[in-house]
Amino acid sequence: MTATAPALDNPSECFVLRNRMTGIAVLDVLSNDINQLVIQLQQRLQLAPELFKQAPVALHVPAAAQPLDIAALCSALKPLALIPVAITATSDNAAQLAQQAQLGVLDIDSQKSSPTTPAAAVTAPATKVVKQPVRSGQQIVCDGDLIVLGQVGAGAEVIAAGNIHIYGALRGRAFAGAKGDESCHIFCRQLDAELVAIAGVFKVSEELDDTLRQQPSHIQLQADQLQIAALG
Amino acid sequence: MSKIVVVTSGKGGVGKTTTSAAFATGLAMKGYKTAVIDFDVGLRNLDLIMGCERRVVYDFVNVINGEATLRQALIKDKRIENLYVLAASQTRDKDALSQEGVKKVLDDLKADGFDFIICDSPAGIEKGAHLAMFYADEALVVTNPEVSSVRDSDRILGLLSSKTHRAANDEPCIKEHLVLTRYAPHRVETGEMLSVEDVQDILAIPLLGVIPESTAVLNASNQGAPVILDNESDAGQAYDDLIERFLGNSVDFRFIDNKKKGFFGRMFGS
Ligand SMILES: Nc1ncnc2c1ncn2[C@@H]1O[C@H](COP(=O)(O)OP(=O)(O)OP(=O)(O)O)[C@@H](O)[C@H]1O
Ligand SMILES: [Mg+2]
Repeated sequence: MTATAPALDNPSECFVLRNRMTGIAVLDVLSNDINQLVIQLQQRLQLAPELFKQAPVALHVPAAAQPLDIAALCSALKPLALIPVAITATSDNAAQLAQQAQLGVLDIDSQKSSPTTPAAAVTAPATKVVKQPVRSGQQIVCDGDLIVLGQVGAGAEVIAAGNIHIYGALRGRAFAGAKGDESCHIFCRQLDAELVAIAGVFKVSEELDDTLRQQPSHIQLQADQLQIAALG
Repeated sequence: MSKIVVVTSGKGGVGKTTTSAAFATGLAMKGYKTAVIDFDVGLRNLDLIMGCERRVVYDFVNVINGEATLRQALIKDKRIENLYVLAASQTRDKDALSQEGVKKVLDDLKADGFDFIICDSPAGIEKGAHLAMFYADEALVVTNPEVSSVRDSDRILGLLSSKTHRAANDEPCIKEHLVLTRYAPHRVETGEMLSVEDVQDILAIPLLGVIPESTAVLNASNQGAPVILDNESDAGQAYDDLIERFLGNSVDFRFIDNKKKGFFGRMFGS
């Protein structure tokens, strides 16, 4: 393990330490009827109580849901084990709402809500498709599976709670199962990574088998060991 | 329609200013009304390469601060019709540039009927480089065939696709062109330098030109005449090819193979 390797011994903590944005759910507030919203939200959360337990959420409040008693909404969310931490920057009157609720303003994309969604919808982790090459210095973070159509350059980082598929060369760093899921995989068209990790178990470039370099590869975790095999 | 083209690289000293000067001069020689702007506030280099350093009265920062009009600050080239230089200030620091100020100057140049506005970026990824690329329609990414330069260019490409006016407004992406400079085929053969293919493989953007390492470049800058004016020189011809390609004509790449064969090589064609 070299000095450049990040501290990944505790997978659930590693990105929090570095202040990464994984695990932020966005609550799209589509109505100012707080009672109704809480009832619907309760039903939704019962489907997968573990998924959002004590989850930090950012509130997206479009003009249609205003005026809204934002402080009351925040108090109502706490018994549901959702922790409001911010107002999304794309909300209407974001600064004012943030001040009233004593929250931060967070610059992240809120899921566009379709007209058929219920009064409240917690956006679920979804597959993210990146069509542009991921360049040096860029970092892509995603709560579900991540698909990169191009390459991941040296000095770039891709991080996913789920699997990672790269249809170009992987020359940077890839972290799959970033929230601790050991069943995640990494696939790439050409393996030349600086670092690969699944659920916190990692290998740096130096430790990669030379026969696998530049080859299409499949990386998975077996018995706490990273297994790297040629694809196809 | 005016086009704004940024010449950028990340790494310093790779040939941005040399390229900006040759590119702007070449476009003007083909009849396009062209302005070239030095964004390297504090280091002022472009006017030397363009040979107009003794005629600088007002500069880019003066215009932004309203201390001079654009018309007063634009220096008309003495050799080439349609070519204008906007020099950087040597006395200010790089914070003298503001986004609104830059926008105003670019808008005024557009209104003045310029076909091409070339922005010579400073090195790095700080404010000056950011402002030089912010309003660009196209980018020449200048790279030397070595690992650190290629890495920095990759970084710049990331910024071009995320930290620019086009990116912020969901407009079509900036058109990116790779310009490989200081290319020395014999050093590629010995493995000291990356090859054209290596660099293209890493950066994955279309190749616009390969400029050979050439003594003509130093001579040109000593004389204050952009190297493209030296049409006998390899570098001058390579820049000319680059401009043809930029204008949509297909031209074969020259100066990328090691042509200096020994006596036996020539005899037996090996
Ligand atoms: N094709 C070439 N052959 C030989 N020398 C070159 C070539 N291109 C540039 N140079 C030399 O490299 C040096 C740097 O060039 P230039 O000033 O154009 O780079 P730059 O990228 O603008 O630098 P900076 O980052 O400092 O602005 C100069 O001395 C120049 O003469
Ligand atoms: Mg320069």
